Amino acid sequence: MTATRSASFPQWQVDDTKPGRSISKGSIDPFAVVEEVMDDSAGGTVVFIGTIRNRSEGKKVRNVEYQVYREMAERRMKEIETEVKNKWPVKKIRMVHREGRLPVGEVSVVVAVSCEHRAEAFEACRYAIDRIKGALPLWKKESNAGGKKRWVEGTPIEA
Amino acid sequence: MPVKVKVLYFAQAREIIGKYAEYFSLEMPTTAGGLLGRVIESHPSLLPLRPSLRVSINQELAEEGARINDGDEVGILPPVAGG
Repeated sequence: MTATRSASFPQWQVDDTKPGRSISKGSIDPFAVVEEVMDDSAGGTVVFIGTIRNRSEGKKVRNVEYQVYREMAERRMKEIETEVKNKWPVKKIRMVHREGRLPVGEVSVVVAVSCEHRAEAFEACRYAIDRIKGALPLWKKESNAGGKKRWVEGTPIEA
Repeated sequence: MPVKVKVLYFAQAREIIGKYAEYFSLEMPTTAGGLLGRVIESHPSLLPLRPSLRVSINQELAEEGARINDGDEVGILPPVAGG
């Protein structure tokens, strides 16, 4: 099936040819991700779209840069996928996180899950994004309007 | 018998040290905790970060007591912030 794409989201560009990669240097099109998981056997599809907020710690944000330990992050994304599939009867799941410098409003992460029923889809999606936040080797450097940069305070990486 | 490992630095650790990565030669047996100690000896300004740093070995999160082997890729991971 084809979904209508919003004109405000650019085409999903992944800078390498390997399919199924979870870390993207190019823009993420959340609608393309949703299309990937929609399935005739799934009655509920849930998507989480993370975007760069315009304010942080009371200051205006100019952009955010994500530094990624790519190979470990890809590996951990696969592990999270397995965890989700072990916990819920997921039909399809797709997770993508950006790497690089993102302006305010840009999509930083997308998690899309399809299940037979909505309850599992909501829970699985929530779990996946929470795991992404805690367990991926990613670091965020924020640039504020004044030009100051700071590493966003994180949490020690989870097992 | 000395062991050679590649250590990757990220985020604040990378900035403090000023390098993406470097090689360390270590005497066997050595652990993730032992290697972290060596890294901090070489770069003392990393010390304040130490309690929140974690170590990965060949892209798997490692406990401090985990064994380091010749040719391993070790990641020095500050607290993460993604999503």
